Amino acid sequence: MVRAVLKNSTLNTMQQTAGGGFFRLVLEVDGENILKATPHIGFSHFGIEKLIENKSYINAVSLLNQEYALVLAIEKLLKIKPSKRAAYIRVLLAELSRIMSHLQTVVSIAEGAGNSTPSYYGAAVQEKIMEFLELAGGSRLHANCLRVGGVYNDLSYGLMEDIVKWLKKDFLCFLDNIDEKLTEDRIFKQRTVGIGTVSSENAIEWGFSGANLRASGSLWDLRKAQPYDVYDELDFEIPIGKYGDCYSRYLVRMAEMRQSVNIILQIIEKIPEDFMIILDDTVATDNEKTVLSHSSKNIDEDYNVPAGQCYESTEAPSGEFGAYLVSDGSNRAYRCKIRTPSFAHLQAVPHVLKGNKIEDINTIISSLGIEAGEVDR
Amino acid sequence: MIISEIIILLSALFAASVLLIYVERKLIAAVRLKKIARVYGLMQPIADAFKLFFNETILPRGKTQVAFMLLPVLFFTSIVACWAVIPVDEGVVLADINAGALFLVAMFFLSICLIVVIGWASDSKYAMFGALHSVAMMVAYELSAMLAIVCVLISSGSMRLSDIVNAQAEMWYCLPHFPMFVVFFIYALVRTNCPPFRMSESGNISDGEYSIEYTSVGYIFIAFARYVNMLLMSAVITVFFLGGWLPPFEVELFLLIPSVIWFGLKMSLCLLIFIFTKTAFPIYRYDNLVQFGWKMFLPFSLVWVIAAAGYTLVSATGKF
Amino acid sequence: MIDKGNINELAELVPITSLRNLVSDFKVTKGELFLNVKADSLVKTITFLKDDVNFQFEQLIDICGVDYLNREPRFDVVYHLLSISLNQRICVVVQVADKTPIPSAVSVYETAEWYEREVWDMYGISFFGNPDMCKILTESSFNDYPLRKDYPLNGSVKWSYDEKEQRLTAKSVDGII
Repeated sequence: MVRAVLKNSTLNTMQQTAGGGFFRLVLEVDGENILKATPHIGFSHFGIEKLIENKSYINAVSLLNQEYALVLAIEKLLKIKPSKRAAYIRVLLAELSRIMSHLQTVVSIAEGAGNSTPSYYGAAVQEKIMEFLELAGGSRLHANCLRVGGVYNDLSYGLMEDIVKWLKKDFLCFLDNIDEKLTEDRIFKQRTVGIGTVSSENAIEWGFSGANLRASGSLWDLRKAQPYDVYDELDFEIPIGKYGDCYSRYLVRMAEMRQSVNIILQIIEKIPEDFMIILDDTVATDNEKTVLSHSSKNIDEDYNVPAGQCYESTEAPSGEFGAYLVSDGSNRAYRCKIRTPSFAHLQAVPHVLKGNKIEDINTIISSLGIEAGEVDR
Repeated sequence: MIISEIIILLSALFAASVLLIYVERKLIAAVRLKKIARVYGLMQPIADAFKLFFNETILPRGKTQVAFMLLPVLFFTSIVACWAVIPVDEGVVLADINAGALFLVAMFFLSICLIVVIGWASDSKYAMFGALHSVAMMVAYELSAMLAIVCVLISSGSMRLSDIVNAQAEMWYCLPHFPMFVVFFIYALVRTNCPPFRMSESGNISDGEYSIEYTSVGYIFIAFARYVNMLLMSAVITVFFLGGWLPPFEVELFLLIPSVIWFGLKMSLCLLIFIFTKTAFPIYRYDNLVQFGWKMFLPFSLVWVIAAAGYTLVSATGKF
Repeated sequence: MIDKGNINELAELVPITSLRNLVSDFKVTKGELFLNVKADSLVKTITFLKDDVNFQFEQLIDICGVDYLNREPRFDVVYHLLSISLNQRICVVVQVADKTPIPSAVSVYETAEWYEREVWDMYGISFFGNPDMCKILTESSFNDYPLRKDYPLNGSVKWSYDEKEQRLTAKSVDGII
């Protein structure tokens, strides 16, 4: 008698993340249910760490939130601090790009749930933010505004008023619109509530950070816990979720966008009118050579960083973004390890996906804010 | 004679599909605040089809090659054949057979069966997954939709579609049979791939659709069949529930307008709703969708059929 | 949320707890605490750091390799730990010679798996006890360890089209950075 051997079928899928990168996900499914998921990464690996080791410090350019940690680490080794105004501008730009990133995550959750219309509205808003970043730094996506010891340039005349006007009028309106269309949508809730649940203990154990950790109920935000630049002077709230499912992650991100708006409005009120990129004299005296004045000539010159090692981390939109920098005293980093939040989040994806349905994969992965480019570096 | 009529029907369907593709893109773009081509965009589907002719045909490696090549044609035929019995105006119909409704139901089932076979013939896990998904969803709503047709048949007392339309002279069936109208409309949404009741088409859902292995001519047939299907479902809704070519009120002004225009207007209304649902809603997850169909719609339709039959019996015989 | 803890207070705890037997050396630089440990006492150290009430480092933030080409032993493996409940950070540094496996931290921190695979991929430092010790970022046919200092930026192999053989051929090149 021949007995049929039944096997669970294995699917080999390519997952596209919201930002456009790819990774491979091998699924073992039993009907609709996922028994096992194995991510395979490395398709957009381009060796940024090797490149940073071989380029001088000023050539390490990345997305705004991504270079923030590196800039902070270099400043820590140089023992310099940006001026107040420059620090405020940094925080402003970082919060703007946080809004941009959260927006992408929010609309791609909706897209995972099958409604791709919000992503078109989101794209228009992102375009506007990219315009602001372009005005601030000269480049749309890779904003290229942050410099060691300050920022590239003072904000152009009237830009802050434009940002405030746009945030108060158009952006809050847009958020309300999204709230109305998605947050209360029954089908959207059905697709996200209770899907991809991560408990608070698991979130810590699996290395979650940022909004995903907060959505699971842990009160942890590097902007409050280990404040950098001027975050300790700003007054904002940290939204936390309760259940750690896709819907909590969505809500936390929506609330964080509103808090970012709040932060930016405070910055515009508090920003001092002092001179731009000039350094704090008290800390810069022993490092005459590395003092970066306001003129763009000096800013583009190489500088040496004293030997030492340090780890600096920032609260990037998707979580803790860290830079571990080892310097040997030359104008190049001896070793620069970039710690990305998505790497840890993607590592936890097999645990999160287990027991969920095939159709929820996209919702879960985009709600974790995973970007393949960030994972592979 | 019949051949020339068939050619006229096919070319009308082709023209309508091209227009439908254009209007669909235009409307979706309007909702999403995008700008797309103007009237010249009408040529785009034709250009797409022309380009697809020159694509390489990729055949599966197994023994299913012949089936793989023939199935899109059969699928297309099974949908176009339904148009043979749809009366567009008094007497304007290819075949006014006395079992028109039965023919439609049979063809609906046939196209569903063909989807499974397409999934099997593609010789690929993903196509099979997509086919099973689609079929499971459609079958979940198929029975209650057929019961909705039965309600109409009970009320009109005929299976000939032109008789059904004429029976609606006093009142369109969407009013007395409103719940059944909703049921049938949702079935139409399921069949035409519109959210929130959508088959697992590719897009952002990670498993493929049943036509994933098709390229070139095979894909043209399947894609064309989809749009003809949209037209067909709206026409069937018009005939069964919206009074076919009859004007809404017997007003002098309305009677001046040719009845074909009324038919077209009602179809366009349905099509507009189909298109708008595509942009407005997220998609139900597969298991919720199927549960919805089997656990809510089917019992409800059964009760409604019994109630409609009882009412008709009582009003016809006068006895309780 | 707790205010950022004082790193010096944490450093004072090192010589008076059982860490003193495990840690060979420790220092505080730029507000960060670095612990140097031997490879054999690594797992014990991080287990202690995770479980002890004074440390409570619940999260493994990162594992990273550093290549000191002319030093003996050649590599550093740096573990960054984060305590969410005490708001502290700590670095645990292990020195490793080339071709010497070190114990894996997977039994303590589940997240160590991918980080260790990355270190293996980039530096060729292998970890015993890791359930899936294979490459993670580079392709399987790639046989070098790209982040080692002696690996050239342009790669050690150059692919070019050979007219004679009508195919792509690999040539070894001297690395010019």
